[in-house]
Amino acid sequence: MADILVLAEQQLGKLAKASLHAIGAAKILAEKTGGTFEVAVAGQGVGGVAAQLAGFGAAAVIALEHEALSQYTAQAYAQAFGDYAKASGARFVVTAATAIGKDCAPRIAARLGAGMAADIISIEGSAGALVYRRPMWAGNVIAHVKVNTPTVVVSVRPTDFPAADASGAASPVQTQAASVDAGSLRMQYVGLEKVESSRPS
Amino acid sequence: MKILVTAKRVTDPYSKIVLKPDRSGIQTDNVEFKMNPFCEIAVEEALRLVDAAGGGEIVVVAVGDEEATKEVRTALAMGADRGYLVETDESKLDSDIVARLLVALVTKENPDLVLLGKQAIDGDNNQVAQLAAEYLGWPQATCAYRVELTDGGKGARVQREVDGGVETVQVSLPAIVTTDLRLNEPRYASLPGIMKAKKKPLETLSPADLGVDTALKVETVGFEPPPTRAAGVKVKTVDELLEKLATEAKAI
Repeated sequence: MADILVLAEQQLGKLAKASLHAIGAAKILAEKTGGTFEVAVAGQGVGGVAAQLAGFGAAAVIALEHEALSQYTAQAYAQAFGDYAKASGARFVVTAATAIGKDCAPRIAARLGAGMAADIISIEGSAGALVYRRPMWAGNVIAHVKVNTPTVVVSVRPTDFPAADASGAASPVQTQAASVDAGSLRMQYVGLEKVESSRPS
Repeated sequence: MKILVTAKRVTDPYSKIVLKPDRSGIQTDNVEFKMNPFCEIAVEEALRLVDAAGGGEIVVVAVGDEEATKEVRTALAMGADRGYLVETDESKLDSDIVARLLVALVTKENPDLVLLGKQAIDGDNNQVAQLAAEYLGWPQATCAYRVELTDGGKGARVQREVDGGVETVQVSLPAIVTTDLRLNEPRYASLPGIMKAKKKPLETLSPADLGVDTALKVETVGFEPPPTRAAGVKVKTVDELLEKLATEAKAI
């Protein structure tokens, strides 16, 4: 049980680099609140990705497994991550502001009755009086926001937080069944058409 | 087919946005207001989908101060049928309040589809649709690049803009879809459309009328201008460039 939960992202068993920046943000938050963090990843057969996350200083790495998570859908991910966040008593839920993060994090916030600060570029202040900086008007103004709910969800702009390095002792890795109500799901992932680019990723 | 669509009144995307010297908010003297471009695309998509479905009804919603009525009328002029203004103090809103107001109207109107812009160009929060979808327990498809009704109007196949490509999802209706830039090119309201819009029903409601608690979950406590651009630096070798890109700019 840690007070900060990082939602890591994987696609086809490959860990998203942006997730390392989310862990970097969680470390800053942990330092400010004197807390610890866990990292969760969702999918089907994601033990390998979870193992990759074991060296970043998390109190635990959790693989949330369910058939309905074999491909990304907002509904299933919100249930899996949201219910785990609730069960683990997380006070902060941190994700990178990637396409997936932006798509499902607000659903997780709604599920937790939490306010969400989106696309934040820094975390200021101290425990009990945290202020998040985020761009408005396409970056022409930087807003300072506070979240008034007991649980807080943030999506972080990866370029504004350092990527955590794999220097920590091995975190315990646990696999558990994700809480997903398959009967409630009314959407299916059909496919992804990648745009091939010659730019380095 | 009944579609509920949102229309937010925002600063003109082409206006220069500058903070007041006391940083209490943005300067609005020389700023024009208009419908959020992503909402315009949503209204346009609603018109196209109802047309493709062979008829239906489009209800447009704006949440904001009295001036936002103009954006409801613009959507009605484009071809929507009825409108609501949920009149609130715009300085005391967050995405969650807007989402819950929308949910109350969805419960009242029972649409097959709710269309929103993916984000408003002022707040850039990109949360309202997803919050509402979770509160309703509905599927969602955000950042739509293409929307097609399927299964005789019982479902929709949506192509979405995601990092590195286009993702296709299939949702069963009722569902929430948000629009991205490439989805369509919105029509201009015609003069007959503008005249007809004056007679179309527009109801003003308050959050209390909809039973929605307006306590803020996310509160803006200050503003600052963006960081000033540092002067450029000249380098002598490619190695120096690579070193600066890696360590200073952190771009590689």
